[in-house]
Amino acid sequence: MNREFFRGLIDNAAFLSVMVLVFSFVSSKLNRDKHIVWKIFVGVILGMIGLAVMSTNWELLPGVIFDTRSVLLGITGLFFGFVPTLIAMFMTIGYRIFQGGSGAWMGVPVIIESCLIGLIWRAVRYKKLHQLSWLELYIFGLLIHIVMLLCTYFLPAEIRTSILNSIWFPVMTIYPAATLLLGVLMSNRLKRDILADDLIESEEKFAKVFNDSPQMITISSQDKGIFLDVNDSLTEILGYKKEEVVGRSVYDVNIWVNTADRKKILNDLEKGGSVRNREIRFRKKNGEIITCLGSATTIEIGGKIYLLLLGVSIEDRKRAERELAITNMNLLTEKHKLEAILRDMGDAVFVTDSNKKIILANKAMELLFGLTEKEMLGSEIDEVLILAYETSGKKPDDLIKNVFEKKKLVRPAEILVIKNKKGASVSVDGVASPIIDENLNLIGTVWLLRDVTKQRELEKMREDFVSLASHQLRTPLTGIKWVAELLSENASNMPIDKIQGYIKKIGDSNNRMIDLVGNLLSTSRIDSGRMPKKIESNPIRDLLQQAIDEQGKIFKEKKIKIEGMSDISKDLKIDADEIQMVQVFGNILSNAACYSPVGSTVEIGSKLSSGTMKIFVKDQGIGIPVNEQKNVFSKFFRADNVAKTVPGSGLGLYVAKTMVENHGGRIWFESKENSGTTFFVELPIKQKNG
Amino acid sequence: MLANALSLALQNEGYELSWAADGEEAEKMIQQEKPDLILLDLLLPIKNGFEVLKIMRQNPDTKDISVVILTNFEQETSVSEGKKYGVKEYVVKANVDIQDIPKIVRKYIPS
Repeated sequence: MNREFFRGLIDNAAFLSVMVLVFSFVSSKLNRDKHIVWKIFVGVILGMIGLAVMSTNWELLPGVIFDTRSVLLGITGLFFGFVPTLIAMFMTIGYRIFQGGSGAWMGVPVIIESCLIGLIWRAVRYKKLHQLSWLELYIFGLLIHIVMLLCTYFLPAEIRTSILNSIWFPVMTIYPAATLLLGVLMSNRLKRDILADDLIESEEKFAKVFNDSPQMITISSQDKGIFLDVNDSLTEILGYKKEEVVGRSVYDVNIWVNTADRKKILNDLEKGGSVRNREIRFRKKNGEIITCLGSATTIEIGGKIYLLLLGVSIEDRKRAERELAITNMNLLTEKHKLEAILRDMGDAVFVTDSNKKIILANKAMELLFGLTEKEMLGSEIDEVLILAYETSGKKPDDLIKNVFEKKKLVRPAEILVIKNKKGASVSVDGVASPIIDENLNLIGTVWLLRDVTKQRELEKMREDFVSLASHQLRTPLTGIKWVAELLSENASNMPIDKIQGYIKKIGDSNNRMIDLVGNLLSTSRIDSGRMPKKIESNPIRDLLQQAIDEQGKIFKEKKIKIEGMSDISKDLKIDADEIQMVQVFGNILSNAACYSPVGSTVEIGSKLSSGTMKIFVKDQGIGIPVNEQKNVFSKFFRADNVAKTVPGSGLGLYVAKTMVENHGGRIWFESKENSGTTFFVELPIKQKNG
Repeated sequence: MLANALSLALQNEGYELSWAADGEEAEKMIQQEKPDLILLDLLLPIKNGFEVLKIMRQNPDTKDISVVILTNFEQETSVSEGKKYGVKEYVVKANVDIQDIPKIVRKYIPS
């Protein structure tokens, strides 16, 4: 009987397993989050399997039947959850009661306890259902069926013991094992479902990443380079449609500027090297080329190796880099230009930082202060700025203070003076300006200093001219005025020779005025650079004679003889402006006559050498003091030994020198005080552009 | 020539005159003769008029002598320099008639 009972139970267990197996295959996965209708449906199916199992039972005694419903319901509780279990439970309870018999007293509690234990176990182990071990499932089976044996208590007392005795061994042998078997089945099924879920989820994620990635992604076959897939970023950026790319090879779709890049990537990957952030150039459909940073790896799909390439366009970055490079270059060029201007400009410029340290100084600055830029750089401003105000002799600290503290553009109150290395004093004007940033902070100062020595000299000359010329012009005029007044008052009482003397004085003064005005006009023309020459070939003797004739009066009065004129050949000619030359010799002869004693001799001569003619005028006059000889040709110069006795403008020799030099010649003299002076004029015979 | 005409004009009025041709000569003459009035030109050889004036004013014997500058040299600076030395008048020769000179002299030499 025991053996039959065994076989019956095994048959039933096998039947159950088959039913559940079939169900699990036809049903979709054991998704735990399904709709309630699905749950009811599953419950009904399981209930019906329960009924099927119960209808193929093994009858121990009439009304006492055994089947594997406890296994089914326990597993249902454990793996299918509350609703299906409840439905299956009520269906099986109903059927058991319908089957009737005294065994129902035990059968119904067994159904309930199986369901309960299953549900409780499920609640405790909910998250680990797909990972339940064989041991756990076996213990689960043991527990259900120990409780099942305890349920024999509900049987009529008279059969209770005998039934327990006959069933405990087969039940405890077969049922837990069947539970284990079914549990493993379900657990594996669950595991597969979860894995499938994860797979789908990851596939979805991948597809999303693949298409939404801002990076361009291509998957292409390793050998032939057929595009298996490309993402939306790639098609958008390169301007293709997906179908224009996928299925075609890299050689057909011309997106690689250089397919050798791709080969190299493949080679590097083959060698085990990694390809990360490599610069790759892609060609857009419109031909434009963009640069990308690409990373690559190989992936296996369906046993074939594919190249997975991710690229991100760095075109914007590249463009920005290019623009930046151009901007930088332009800035640099501008900087160099400015620096060149600054360095070569005639005015001295230096720049300080906000701490009064010099950070730049130009060439003119170096010359002005006699220091090299290197020596100045990093020095404090007042170490370098060795200037003083012209009249007060004070250092220009007020300038430094104002520009640094008040952040204002400042100019010196008056001309500044600096002694340069040669000891000469240089007059300097200038301006200091602050460099201010957008927050009105001082970031440095720029100083511009201009050498105004020349202007000062010119200004002084102009002043000298005004004062001296006024004096020189007024003096003969006053003479004429006063003598004329004296004459008009007193002429009637005067002897005739005295009157003639005064009239002569008036004439002399007038002549002086004429010479003076002539020389002043020449000077003004010289100063303004307007002294045109009218070059003609003139016999030198004629030029000298003309000059002598013009000055003849004074020679006659002072009974000064002129010698040497007859020795000058009439045929000696030079290219020169007649009027200018007569003025030159006239001024020299006038000096000779003025500064020579009565009855002396003036000697004139000429000497021809290669291409030039030298003319000399030698007097026996008072000579020029040695210490004043260097100034003889300066404008307005009058030597001390003549200034008091002999009137003169101080312009004659200045004019003569300028005119001689204007002809490409030179003028000089030899003089000894109280014994005489010789003036030499050397002129080219031919004028180059005459 | 101007000095010539000037001498004539003043001698006619009965003044006693000494005439120096340069600054140095003038200095010596002032020390020796201590005149009542000096008619001083500015553009003088060797030492100019202001140099003469400066030294003269430093000497207690001569510092109070009346001085009239009589010159054709005329600049703002020279006029103010003259005032600084306390000259009585700054006369530009070209601007006065020769007859006016004795009148100027008379103002500073009480007869």
